[in-house]
Amino acid sequence: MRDLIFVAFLLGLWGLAFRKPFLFVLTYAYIDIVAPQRLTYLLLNSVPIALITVGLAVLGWAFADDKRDARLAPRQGLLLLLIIYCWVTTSVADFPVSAADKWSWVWKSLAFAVFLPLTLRTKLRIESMMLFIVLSCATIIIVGGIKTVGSGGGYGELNLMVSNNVGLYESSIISTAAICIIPIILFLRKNQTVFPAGWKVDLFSWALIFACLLIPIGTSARTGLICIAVLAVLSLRSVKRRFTYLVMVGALGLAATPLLPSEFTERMGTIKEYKGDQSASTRIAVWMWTLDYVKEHPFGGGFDAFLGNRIRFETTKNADAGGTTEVEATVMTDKARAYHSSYFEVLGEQGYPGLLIWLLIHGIGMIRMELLRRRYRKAENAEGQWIGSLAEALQHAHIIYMVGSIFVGIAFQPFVFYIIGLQIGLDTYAARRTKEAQWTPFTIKKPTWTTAR
Amino acid sequence: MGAGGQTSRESRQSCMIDNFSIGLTHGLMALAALILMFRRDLDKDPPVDRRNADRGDGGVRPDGDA
Repeated sequence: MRDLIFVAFLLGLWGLAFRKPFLFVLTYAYIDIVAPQRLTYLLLNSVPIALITVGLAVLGWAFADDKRDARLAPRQGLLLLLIIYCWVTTSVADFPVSAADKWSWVWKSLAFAVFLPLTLRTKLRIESMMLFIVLSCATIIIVGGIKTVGSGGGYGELNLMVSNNVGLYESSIISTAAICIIPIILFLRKNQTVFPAGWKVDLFSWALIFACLLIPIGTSARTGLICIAVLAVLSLRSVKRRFTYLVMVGALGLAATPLLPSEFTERMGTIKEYKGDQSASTRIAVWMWTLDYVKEHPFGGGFDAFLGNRIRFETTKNADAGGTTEVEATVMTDKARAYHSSYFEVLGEQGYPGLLIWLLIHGIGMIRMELLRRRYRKAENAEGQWIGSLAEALQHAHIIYMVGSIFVGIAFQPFVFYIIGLQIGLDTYAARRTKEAQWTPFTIKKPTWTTAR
Repeated sequence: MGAGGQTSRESRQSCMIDNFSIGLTHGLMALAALILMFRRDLDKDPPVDRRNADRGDGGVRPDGDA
């Protein structure tokens, strides 16, 4: 039955998209995030739906879309450079089979990030892309939120519809993504124009935000808690009454603590006692191994180069013995441990040049959003304010992702490339609207909405 | 009720939650797609309204540079 619903939904979207080709782009984002082929037993998992949809999206853009203003932004050039660089490192990778496997999906997510901004020509397209990203993520997050309320979840125990930890269904990744989209949900609640504004949109938005906050609890992913802390700090920039906000956050935190499952609080406690935690000690050991590795391989070892690591690390545990505290140290060994950090993932796999390109793509994105935010946040009309608010939401989402990335290997996760694609789309949109507004043949004064600072 | 019965009930509940989430979000996406079909501004933005940029209507008017 579920199979038929997915098929009907997909066929419906494809059918509509033949009249409005931009819907192919939205459909691809949906397939990429939800992966309906993994949720079904028949039909969809035997058809390359993502490939068909992206092919139709490109053809739709090539033959039916207005391309008068289409141009590549510098960050799209950097993304292309990263694709080429990754292709080269894949061809000389330490583990060619494994590297080729990762390359097969990485290049697609990077290439789609180059393509996406070309299609985001209008305000409504940017808005609807965000809406589809949020609703697609919500498919997983609502399940996780309700199950957390029902059972409390647990590390590796929360059933998010699929049993294999792939894509956004992996607990640490969905924890980061769930917190990441909160600024975007808040933006859409106020600014979306697809659904009529009112209590239904408000109710859905707040309920979804609550579900997003439950995901780190349900998955017991420590990264999620750190992301929540970053979100709380970043929100200080946009709230009007900062003192009231701080009191409310503090009160909510205190009120929620006794209600949290014990497994969650115990696991979160290991953040400060990282020396006794095997997972954290392994991470530090792998990071040290990566730094040593790139001394000999400054251009990286290609995708999945971590498979070659052999690490030795020490965990310590404090034990009470007759009033004195004894420190028990245990030496452990491990091999082929994953990076557990996007920064070290890129460094180990793509070396210093790859890390530089990757950091530039993210760094320029965050700086550009800050510039747009400052330029437009005090604009006197709605369109300028829309640009300023969206720049802030995308920047906050990006920062949360980048902080979460310190502890999870999600450097090439397609999700973040949607945020980058949206940022480039917004940037070019703002530039084009400014240009249009400045074309005033009989006036000298610049339009207020573009110059407000 | 034995452990088997409880597991079966939990599995049924889990399936219901999955279906609820899929139904809700996919329903909203389908509705959004239908609404977008009738929005002309999906493919082309209304021109920037320079003269009335401060009016609070977004500085854009569907009838052009009024």
